[in-house]
Amino acid sequence: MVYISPLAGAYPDSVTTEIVASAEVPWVFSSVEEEYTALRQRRALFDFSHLGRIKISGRGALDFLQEQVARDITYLFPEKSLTSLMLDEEGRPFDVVVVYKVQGGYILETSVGHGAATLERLRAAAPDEVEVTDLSEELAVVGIEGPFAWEVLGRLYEPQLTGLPYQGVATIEWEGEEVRVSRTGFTGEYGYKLYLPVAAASKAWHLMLEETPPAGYAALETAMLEMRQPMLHREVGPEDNVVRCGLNWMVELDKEDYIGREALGEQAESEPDYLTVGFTAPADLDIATGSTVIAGGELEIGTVAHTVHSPTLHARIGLARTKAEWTTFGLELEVQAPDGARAPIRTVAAPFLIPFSWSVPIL
Amino acid sequence: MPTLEELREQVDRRKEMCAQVKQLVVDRLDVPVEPQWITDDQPLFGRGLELDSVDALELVVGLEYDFAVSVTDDQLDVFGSVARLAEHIEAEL
Repeated sequence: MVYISPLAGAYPDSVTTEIVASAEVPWVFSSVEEEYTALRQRRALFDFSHLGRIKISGRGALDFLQEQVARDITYLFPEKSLTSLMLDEEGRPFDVVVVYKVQGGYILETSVGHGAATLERLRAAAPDEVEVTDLSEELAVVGIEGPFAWEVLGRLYEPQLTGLPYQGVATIEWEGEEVRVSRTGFTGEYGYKLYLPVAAASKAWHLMLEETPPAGYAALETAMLEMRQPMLHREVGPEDNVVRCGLNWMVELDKEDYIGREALGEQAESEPDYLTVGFTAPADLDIATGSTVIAGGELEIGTVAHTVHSPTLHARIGLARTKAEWTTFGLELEVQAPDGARAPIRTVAAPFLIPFSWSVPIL
Repeated sequence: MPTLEELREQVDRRKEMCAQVKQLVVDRLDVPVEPQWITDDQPLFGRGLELDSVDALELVVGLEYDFAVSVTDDQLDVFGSVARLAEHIEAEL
């Protein structure tokens, strides 16, 4: 079943939508370029309700969740969130989740459109003393990202929110409702999510819309790739694992006993066969996923995983999965389309660009 | 377009540089991770290795000591990842 956001009725008529995993997301509200520019230069409003949100509570909540996520949440406190991979038994990425400690348990935020799959897995595995509750109809998630996103947050809600550190979480009262605010953006800019009941979320959306344009997932995914923020639905193929995808930083090897840990250990102890590298290409080049990457005009070393157009760089940017012995930055290579046509690419060090927010102090 | 031999030489040099940067990060900042488990594109600040501004200063000192390479205030981008740091060192050497 396709998930539709409780805020979908508030979108302007101009919106176009796409299906991402199991959610119908707003893809473009006005134009990708305009929305991207607002995000990178000032701020943009997002409906992040397509991220699944699942409460895990009960006496065994901590132990249960520890088995599910690949990073240690023992010392997770309410004022800080933690981002982790969930793996499958074969040590492949299953979901990227943000874990929040809340009264009586935890909230697990899934990646876009992955709420139903993660909910199903948790419900199937939960012991009797653990309660798994779907919050996706009860709470909506409004996001705001950009170098000046903090201005709106401080002015409309609570001045102290501007001081929220990266991955920090604060709970405020607004319009008589409890609102959980986290600084857990996706784009490298100052980015915040507001968890609030659906009716209040609708009010917040309209209030913020007065001075912040909405942006869709087309602009969001562009900005995420520019930062090498993981998007499993675009980047992970059936043969890929944590190491191949370069997601080592979202798992912990010194944590034991979680799903996929044994297989992950085998990945860590073996020489990788393929790795992931970013590349840039001429802006007008249309590169199909699966195109072959060629070195020295003759040697096939990998394939293209995903590309988008970067307005800031005036280039097509992408990720390629290449043989590990050939994976590094700064190489002049070629891609070959299925029809045999070849075009130049250059591998680059991540991130593709440095966000404006890095040079904008919060006042 | 460079030949395979030229590319091989570039790859070997950059992989070696990245390995040295990872060792520098682990040694200087006491990061509890095996250097080889850090990926070239791993974010250093915020997400990723979760370093902070004090760590950045320590890295600047380490780069000067180990590579005789400086980082100025307007070169924030070099801290984007291990590979970004390696790229900066290669350009400065």
